[in-house]
Amino acid sequence: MSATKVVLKVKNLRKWFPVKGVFFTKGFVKAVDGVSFEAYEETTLAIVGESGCGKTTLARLILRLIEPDEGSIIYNGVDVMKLSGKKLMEFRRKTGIVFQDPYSSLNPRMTIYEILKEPLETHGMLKEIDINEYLVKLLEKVGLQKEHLYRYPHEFSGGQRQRIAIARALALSPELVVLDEPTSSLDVSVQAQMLNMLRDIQAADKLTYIFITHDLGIVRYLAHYVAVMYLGKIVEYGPVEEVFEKPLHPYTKVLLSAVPIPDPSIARSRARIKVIGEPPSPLNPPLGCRFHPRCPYALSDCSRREMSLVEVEKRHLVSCILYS
Amino acid sequence: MYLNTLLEVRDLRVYFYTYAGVVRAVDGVSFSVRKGEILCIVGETGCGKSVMSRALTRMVKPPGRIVSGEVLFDGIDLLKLPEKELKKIRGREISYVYQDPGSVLDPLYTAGFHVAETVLTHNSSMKFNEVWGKAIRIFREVLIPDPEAKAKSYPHELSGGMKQRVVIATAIANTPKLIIADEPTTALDVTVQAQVMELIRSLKNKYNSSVMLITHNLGVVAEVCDRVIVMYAGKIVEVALVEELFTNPLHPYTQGLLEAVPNPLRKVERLRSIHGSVPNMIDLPEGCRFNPRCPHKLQLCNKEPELVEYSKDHLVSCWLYKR
Repeated sequence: MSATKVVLKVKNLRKWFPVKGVFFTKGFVKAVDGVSFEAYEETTLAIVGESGCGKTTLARLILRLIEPDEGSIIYNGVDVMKLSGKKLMEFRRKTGIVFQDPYSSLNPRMTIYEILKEPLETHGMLKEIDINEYLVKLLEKVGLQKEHLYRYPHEFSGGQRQRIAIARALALSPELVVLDEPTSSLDVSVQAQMLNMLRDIQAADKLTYIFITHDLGIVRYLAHYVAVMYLGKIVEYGPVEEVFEKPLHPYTKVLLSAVPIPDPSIARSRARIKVIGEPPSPLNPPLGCRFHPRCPYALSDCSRREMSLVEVEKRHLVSCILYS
Repeated sequence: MYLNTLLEVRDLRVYFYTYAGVVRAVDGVSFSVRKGEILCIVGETGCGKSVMSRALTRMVKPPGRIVSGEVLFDGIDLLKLPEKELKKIRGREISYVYQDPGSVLDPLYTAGFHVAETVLTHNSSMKFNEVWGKAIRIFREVLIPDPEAKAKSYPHELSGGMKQRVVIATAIANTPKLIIADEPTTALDVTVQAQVMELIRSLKNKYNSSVMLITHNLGVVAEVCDRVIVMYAGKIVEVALVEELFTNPLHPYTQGLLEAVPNPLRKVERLRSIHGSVPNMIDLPEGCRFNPRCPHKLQLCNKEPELVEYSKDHLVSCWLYKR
């Protein structure tokens, strides 16, 4: 990828959710805790991590669907945190989101026509376009036909619903689309159709994707850059090929060696890095490096020093004591 | 019947009689489980793999009904056995591990009690103290750290991976001959999934049990299985040893499935996807159930193909290989 223009720059983003006790706040779930990254124009940035690492919270923060406690989001040079009124509307028009579960993200009482028309109405674009023609084109883009327009969501399969959700995200011709595990509820054969479609749409419409997933296969297939998250922090960031071929952070190495590979000759011959235990609760993350209690390469200093992301090679950043 | 066959299923049919029509969830499935092997059943949502596994010990609830078939376990037909006799086999000779450990464990009982209860049910002469001691030994075997303390904790105090270990502990409590694991790692994270798969494999070797592993994840299949059964819309489309299946898939559905999964260790230019989607189980296509989505469709495909042997240990149900 030659594109180098930074579309989105996130700096030191933090979101802690309070856990309420009877009288006092008992503590905080540190869902996103000091996250910084950049996304480049017309590329896909994948954010991977296990459940509870804060990927979904991050997706919502980027679009300001929830307010961060701290940090800044710069979109095309504009600080999104300072936007309000018309300017914020304009930002919302340029961004779209597809949620994980197509069963709960589509209103069961609205027809597909109404679902797709709503964003256009909200942004006052109905005057400029012939709505019927526009929606049919939109549906065709995601592989559906015009006879689907007047049906309700329950009449569609999971894969088709996700296509509708994608069409809704594309309705306002956005520049940046956040995809939050769009294929994790789908079967593999349908997933492949969806991934190919998303790639074609990206090329045709020159979109920038932020793709949240836990599936490393999808990352390798679709993404140009990848950010690996662990307990609210990014531990490694870099170009996909480089991160997969030469992972630097021990967690990335562990993840790549634990993921099941659909090829018995590789799956059974490769060396495994074993890791003990499970991800700890984000309520009380370990001090120092958050991965150190499970890390096979942990040093005595790891529990004391919290590392920040350091650029090891061009655009390849890692947060680990071994590379400082 | 092979000498080393543990379980043989012949022409099993499970239908669900719903208001919308008859769902032929499992429709004429025949296969065998060999001693000491890990047999994988792969297929997409709704292909009947879970229903089939439950039907083996007659755990199908209405409106579902086992319409026909035989399940021979050590020469006895489980489908004809009186319920009282079957209860002695369920949990002792054949045990289950389900997908979601959170809903399998009773929140009102301790983790250790679940294991103890399973042991006690099948050995009523044992004293509770002995049984508790055995539960703790089993906990140690499934690599639960600090087993004495963990046996006294309640399910909500345990993490997802730990709960699944407790479920596995109950499954192996009576050293069964067959463990049926229905998507045992789907609810778990990758790093924990690898630990649990490793555990299942080492326990199988230790007790020389057979494992029937139901999954939709081809990665898991490649990692742990010996033999694979591919199911599509209630039927078996292909059976093969795992290396054979991945290097020489015969059925167009298997071929499509293998090429649809992105591999994290290899960059592919473009994934090949299977056109269309899984058929409605009430209104199935005539003949081969895959024919509307098949890239190699023939005239013959309107008739139903049989599962035939293509080479040793490799069976396929497709007209392309009819000789």
